[in-house]
Amino acid sequence: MPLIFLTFLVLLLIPCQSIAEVLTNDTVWQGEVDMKEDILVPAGVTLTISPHTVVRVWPSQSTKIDPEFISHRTEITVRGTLQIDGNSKGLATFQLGGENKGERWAGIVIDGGKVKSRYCTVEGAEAAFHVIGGSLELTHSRITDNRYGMIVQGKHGKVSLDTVAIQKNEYGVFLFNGADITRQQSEIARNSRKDIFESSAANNLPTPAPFTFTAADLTKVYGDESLPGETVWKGRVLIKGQVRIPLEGRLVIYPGTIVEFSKKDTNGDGIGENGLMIQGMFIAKGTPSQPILFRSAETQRKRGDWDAINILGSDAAQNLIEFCQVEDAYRGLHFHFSNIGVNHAILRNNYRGAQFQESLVEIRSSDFFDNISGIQARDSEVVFHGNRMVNNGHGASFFRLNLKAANNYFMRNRGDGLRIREGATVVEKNVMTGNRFGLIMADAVFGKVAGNIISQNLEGGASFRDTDNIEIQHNIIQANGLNGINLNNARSMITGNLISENGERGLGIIGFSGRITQNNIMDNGLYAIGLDDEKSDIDAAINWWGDSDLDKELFDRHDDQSLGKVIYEPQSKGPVPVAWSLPTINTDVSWSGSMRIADHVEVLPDAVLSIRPGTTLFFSPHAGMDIHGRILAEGTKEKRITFTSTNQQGASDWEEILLDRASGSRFVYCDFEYATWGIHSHFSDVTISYCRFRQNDGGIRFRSGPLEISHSLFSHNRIGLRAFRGTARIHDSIFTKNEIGIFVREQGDGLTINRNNIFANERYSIRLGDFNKEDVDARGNWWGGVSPLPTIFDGHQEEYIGKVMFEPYLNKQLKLAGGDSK
Amino acid sequence: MNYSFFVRIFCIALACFIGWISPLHGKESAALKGRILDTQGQAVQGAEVYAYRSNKVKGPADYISNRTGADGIFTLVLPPGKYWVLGVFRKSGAKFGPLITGDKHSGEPIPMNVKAGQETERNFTVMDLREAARQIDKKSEELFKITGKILDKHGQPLPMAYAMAHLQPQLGTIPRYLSRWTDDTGRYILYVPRGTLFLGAALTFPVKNDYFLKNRIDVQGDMQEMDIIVMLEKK
Repeated sequence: MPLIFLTFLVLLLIPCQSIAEVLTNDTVWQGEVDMKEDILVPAGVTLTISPHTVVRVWPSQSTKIDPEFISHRTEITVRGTLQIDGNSKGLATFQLGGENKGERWAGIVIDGGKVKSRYCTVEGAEAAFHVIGGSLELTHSRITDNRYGMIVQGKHGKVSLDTVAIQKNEYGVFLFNGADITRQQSEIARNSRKDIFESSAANNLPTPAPFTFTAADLTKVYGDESLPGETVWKGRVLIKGQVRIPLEGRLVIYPGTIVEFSKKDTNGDGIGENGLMIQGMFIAKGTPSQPILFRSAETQRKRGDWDAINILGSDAAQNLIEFCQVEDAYRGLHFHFSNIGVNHAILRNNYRGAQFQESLVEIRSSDFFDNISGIQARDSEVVFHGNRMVNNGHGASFFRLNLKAANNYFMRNRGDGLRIREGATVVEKNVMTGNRFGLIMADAVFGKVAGNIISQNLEGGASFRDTDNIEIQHNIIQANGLNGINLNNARSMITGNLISENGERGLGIIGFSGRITQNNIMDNGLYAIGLDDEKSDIDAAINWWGDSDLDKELFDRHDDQSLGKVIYEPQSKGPVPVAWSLPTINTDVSWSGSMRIADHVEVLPDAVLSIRPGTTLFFSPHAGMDIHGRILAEGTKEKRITFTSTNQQGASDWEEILLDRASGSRFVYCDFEYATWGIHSHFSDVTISYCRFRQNDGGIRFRSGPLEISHSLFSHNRIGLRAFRGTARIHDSIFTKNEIGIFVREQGDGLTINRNNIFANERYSIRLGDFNKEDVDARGNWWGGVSPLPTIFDGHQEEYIGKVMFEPYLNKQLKLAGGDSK
Repeated sequence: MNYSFFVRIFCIALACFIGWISPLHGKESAALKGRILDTQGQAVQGAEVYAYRSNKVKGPADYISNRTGADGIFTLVLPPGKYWVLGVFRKSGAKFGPLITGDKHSGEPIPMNVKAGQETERNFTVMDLREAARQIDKKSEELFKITGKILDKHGQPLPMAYAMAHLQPQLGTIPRYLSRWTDDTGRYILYVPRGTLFLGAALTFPVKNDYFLKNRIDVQGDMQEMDIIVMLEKK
């Protein structure tokens, strides 16, 4: 009897609703609902919330994210329909439940589904509504006390608000990548940090492409089977169950093989169950011309049609997955306690590209794109090198790894590009751009974040929370939506970085212990450094602040007595050299201050490298640049841009700036010295004005064009200008004290050389090459007050080459400043 | 009175009936006992054991043990059945939320069947989360790394080659141990066990069964600079 009585008492307090994880049927919630697990409303299913319903969402216990969900927090993910039917007498409410202690729930994530909501309140979420795709119609509702009221990503989602208040959140509405909302009689106001924020990624980011495959005849069909011993697959294999490779077995897949999985979904959760379960060895060794394909066998292939390539406890040798494409799976690759090499693989259109733990894993030169999440891994030793994570929901999430991540691209992921929690990590020479957040690091120790480009991320560049002993050095952190670097209870040495052009703060600090020194921090939107609830002083001495007015651009105790002080004296006397470490630039980047370039740097097509006024580039021996995109080096009269060498010895200290089909490139108020060639151009439309080329082996050499060269100086070079089948206008410039002023190697009839001062060159003012048969227009120049004939080598000396047409010539020297001024 | 009130009354009534016939009523529970230790084998005070009825451990635990004392001993009484169990130490003393710096736990939940009337003994080792990361070494102790370059006959690195090792010099089958395809550096890493093996390299996969592996090696530990020369030109 006491048991019954106690049961009676307890049950008075307990709501009666039971919650499933994946709804398989239309469901109605009413009364009081305790939601302790994620809820997925799949396509074809409707969840209806009745009036007066209170949904209490308990914060998550864990940081795990199952592949079909978006957040580690407790969430409702809608791929079907969510109908919230409050009314004026009975609101439907979503709020925090449990003993939350400051935690939030994720919110309602609309991932291709439809949400119609009226008379509803949503509180306590990370983002009350997060629209990735699908539609949201919200009427007579209130969104309050969330971190974000609403996030809408991309143009795929349709959002309409009617009589909605989004108030008293930290952030109101964030719109990314062209997202828009329609609203009437709605207010987005009185949110503590920002009401509305819009940001978009650059359009010129490259997109990986899948492999192409040749159709193959069906060679084998499997159901639920175990394959002991050695099994070889070739041709096309159809899997209609779960194929197991036991311990001591080995599955070898030949190049060009296609493996297809039919969909079996016995529990109706929309996720296929067929797959591979490997406890022996797995060798899938494709080649570039004959890759291996793993995909759904269904006519209408969908993500989640099949389970995974599971490899469990296989560490007797290295399993190999090379030149393979894995698509349409729940988890493309899934390992536990295994030794795996993934090389030149493509993981696309899966719920999760790869998931593993307790493993030794190398992932190289592979592409992860269009997955709900790219990679999730924990408790493993990982080399992650040369990969691309593009257009996933989240890029890579690494938990408690011994990790080396280098030369990867994390681009246009809707959430984080790279998230690291705990572990000992080295993150070097990666590019994180166009993501919502570039890099998030939490609870990690003894790590290094060096030589990365973290730029143009929509909301934030890099965030460090509860980290210790992390070196943050030689990164370019620029043009991120709000803050370049966020520091929250972080201990670091931050040095040698370029932190510039971020939307609000270069560095936003809630808690920091360490030094911020020898960085270039400039041209950020609001503050170079902004303190937020940080009461201690910040050591920020010996930085270069550009033209910043530090009284206005430091937010500290001078602005709010409760904050600490940013101690910025003494300041660096000039820009601090920042080492550039990446071999390629594939996204828009700007350089300012002082940059050291130790090797060749390639600017890929569609990328634009902007060099800001006053910048100096120091090139090491044999270093140079290859521009296939565009370079805009636009200095000013007061702040010239200098291309020079680290050695400062003489001509040919460094290579050249090579432009190849880099049309639209511009050099204005630039100085080139100690190069082999200052500018070397092929097939590019380039403008060069007010520039100085001095003490190079050659100033400019070019083929094709057109080039416009004006108001510039060429002096003390072996060759000032060299043309080969070129088209150019050269005017208002000075050629003097070179060994040869202008050398026309071949086909010089495309050149117009007028209104220049060409004089006192050691051997020739103009020399035509032995293969140049054409005449060259060089009229209207001043040749030093004498006839130029003795200083020209042309058809007058060699019959078969063309002539320099120099008459009429000027008798008075032109007043030209020679690269100095307008 | 609204609909939910009547639903609640019905639930209570039903629960009373179920309570009367509950399998626990008059039957023995199961118990899980043990100690919670750190990586040095020392007892951890203030830790708990969490038990879940499923492997979905994201929400609050279904059953939580006592907080351990200085001796690290815990006891957890629960209905018989299958559970997923882990040990947790929360510095803050909280019962919810993701683990934070300073907390410890025993790793992945362990599936356990506990039987009625029985006491199951199990210790849990909880790990400092930071220390665990620095000690991670996931290579099997049974395997060693052989590294080197694959070169052509002129000593130039060969891309798109791979190293292989086998127990016999003559291949009658696909070699037992294979490296990934090389890149422009020609570098390879091959994981092999201790013992005598025959080492070689190839440019095509699969390699022909009559291929002969020329280099005999005796593997007793990691081996570096084991360059392999393939008598072919780089294309």
